[in-house]
Amino acid sequence: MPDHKTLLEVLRVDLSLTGAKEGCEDGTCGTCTVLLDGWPVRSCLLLAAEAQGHEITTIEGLSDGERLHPVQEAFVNYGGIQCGYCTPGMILTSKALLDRNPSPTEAEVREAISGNLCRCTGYTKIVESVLAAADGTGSTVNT
Amino acid sequence: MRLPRFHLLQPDTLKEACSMLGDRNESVLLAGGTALLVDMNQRLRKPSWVISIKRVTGWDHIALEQDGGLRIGALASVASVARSPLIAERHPVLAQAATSVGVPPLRHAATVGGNLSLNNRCIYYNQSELWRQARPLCLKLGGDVCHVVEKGRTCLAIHQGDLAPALLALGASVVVMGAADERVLPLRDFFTGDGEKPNVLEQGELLAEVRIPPASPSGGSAYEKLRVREAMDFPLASAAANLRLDGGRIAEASVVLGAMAAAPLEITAATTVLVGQKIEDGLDILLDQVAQQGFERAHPADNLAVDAGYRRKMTSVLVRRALERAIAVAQGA
Repeated sequence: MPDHKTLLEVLRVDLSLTGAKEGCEDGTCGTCTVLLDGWPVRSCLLLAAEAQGHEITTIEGLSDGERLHPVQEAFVNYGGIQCGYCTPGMILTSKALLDRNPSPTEAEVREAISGNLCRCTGYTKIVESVLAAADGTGSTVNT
Repeated sequence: MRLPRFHLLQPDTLKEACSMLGDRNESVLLAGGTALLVDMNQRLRKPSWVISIKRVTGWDHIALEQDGGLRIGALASVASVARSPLIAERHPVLAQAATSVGVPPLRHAATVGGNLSLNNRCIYYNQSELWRQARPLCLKLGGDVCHVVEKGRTCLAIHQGDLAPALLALGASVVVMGAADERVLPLRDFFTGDGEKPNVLEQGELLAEVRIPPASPSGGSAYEKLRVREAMDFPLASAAANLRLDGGRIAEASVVLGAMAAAPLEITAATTVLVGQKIEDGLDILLDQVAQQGFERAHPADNLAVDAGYRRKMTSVLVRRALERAIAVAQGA
């Protein structure tokens, strides 16, 4: 594998895992977010070579066949998705938050997703989705 | 966006990294990658060799010394500094500065060493290759014009790191490592004030550690940062304040401005005006004097996204707020 390939490139081009997106080229937008050993990282700023030996979780890895992950379900049920471009990064970041902090406050949710930009939703429904996933009400439709 | 091609080396020790850097003129150090890879995407850096130190262990410590001083490894993530209970308790200014850097995933990757040795920034420099092709090469790019000041002969690129003002206010020193040796120098001597070459690191050298003198039991510090958004952005202006009290009087005071010049700017009025003063109401007028000197010493050029006049005025507000908060911490201690 060429040294200059980023993890994002390898995921999208070589592995056809196109859930992670390229949005900004400078680490600000978060659409390239994947989890590295459980932590949200900018896959566009990580060399593929440096990711070797670590556990990478992409959005494709969250659902179990047709069964959505609880965080994904909450986003669907609470209107946390519009165009869907920020969604993979948003969901992975939220999942990582809830894995570490199962009952976050709204402020903690907002801080956790501060590195994921969304141009569609204004974040309100995204925050509600994450809080619903946290308190177990994410599986009920609420839009 | 593809990175330019390069050869990657991944040494296991810092000394190895120093040798590799020293042996290759077209080589750069890669730690967190949050600054370097962006520069490479923009074709500001096109090294033939990238020396990644992500595999190096043993240099990410936040360690308390017997005398109460702190040693922070240059590979400690900014996130680890932000959430360290040791640092939050002893040096709130540093915890706050670290927390203000970027956003959580960037703090997780970014390193203390990387943030301190951040290249200086300017809206005419930190742009893509395509954008820059529309203009002649500026001074920082090796050309002979400055796009900020017509006929300017000095590069005005700014140091916008958050950790430096905080660490300077704390009187920190740094360990610079080379292949054959190491030296310790005060952090203020690490910065050159040169927009084109912001720090003293030569090819083959890197930052290994930051050392902070012991905190006093009755002290207080605080960091104020001006930016457009509430996360992500580099500072448009910032102020770090550190105070030590002794028997209700200010024994030491430091105020350092960030994002105003090619190096963080120390405001000496903090010492001359505040040392010896008691913490009481009359301090208002003295805090204003220090804030005023902050305004007078700051001469930002219009090379960030927001008007320099506004940034300059806000500097005195930030100094005032940082001092007030530092005093509050000291009084609570």
